[in-house]
Amino acid sequence: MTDKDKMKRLAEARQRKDWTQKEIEEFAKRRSRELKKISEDTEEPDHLASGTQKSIEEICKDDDKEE
Amino acid sequence: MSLPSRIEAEQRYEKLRALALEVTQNSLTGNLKLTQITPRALEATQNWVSSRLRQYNWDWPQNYSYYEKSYPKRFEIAVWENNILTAISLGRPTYHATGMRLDVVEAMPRDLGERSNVFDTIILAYEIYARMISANHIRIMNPVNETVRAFYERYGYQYIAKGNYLTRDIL
Repeated sequence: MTDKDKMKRLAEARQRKDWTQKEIEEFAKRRSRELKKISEDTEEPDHLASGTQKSIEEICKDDDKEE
Repeated sequence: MSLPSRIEAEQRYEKLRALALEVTQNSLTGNLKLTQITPRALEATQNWVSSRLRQYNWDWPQNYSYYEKSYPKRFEIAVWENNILTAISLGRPTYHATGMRLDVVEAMPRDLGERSNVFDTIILAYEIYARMISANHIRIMNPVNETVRAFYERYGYQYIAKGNYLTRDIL
């Protein structure tokens, strides 16, 4: 995908509020293929984790409200 | 949030969670099975305590209970392979609901057994749920170490030091 295509898709995504079921299913199929391709070329860490170093209270308190 | 609206929100988003998992499942070609976080999934995380790779002993049963009560709009996923739990994750919309935060994810440490890669499936499910709620980006919060952070970057995610998260627009 070219940068121009990316910008076009992003602009559309930011305006759209009503994706149809069919559009979501088509998106899912395309992204599934794209992600699978990256996965095949990328070694997943032996222990994949995020957020587990935080307490549940810290996670819930961080609500990105100030952004 | 008053009790009726809390229940209504839970019911409404429960349907969206189920649909997001169904659409994700239908997009997969391998033998992974996706569910929401069930009591059986929470129990299965207890088997990970014996791992030497696990850096933090995050208490999934206790923490899930807290999170579930706090966030009716949450997203949750458990990934199974040959009837074994291989990954689990919790997330929620950002404050302004323009994005989805992946707050916690953990895959079965590989010293406990072989498993397929799971991240591509998990992030696909988040992206589909995000589309359903009209969010336009994903944030992966608090990568547990540099290796994991670099791994996310391979998927096109950009690290934001302020806030310690990685982000990517949904395209």
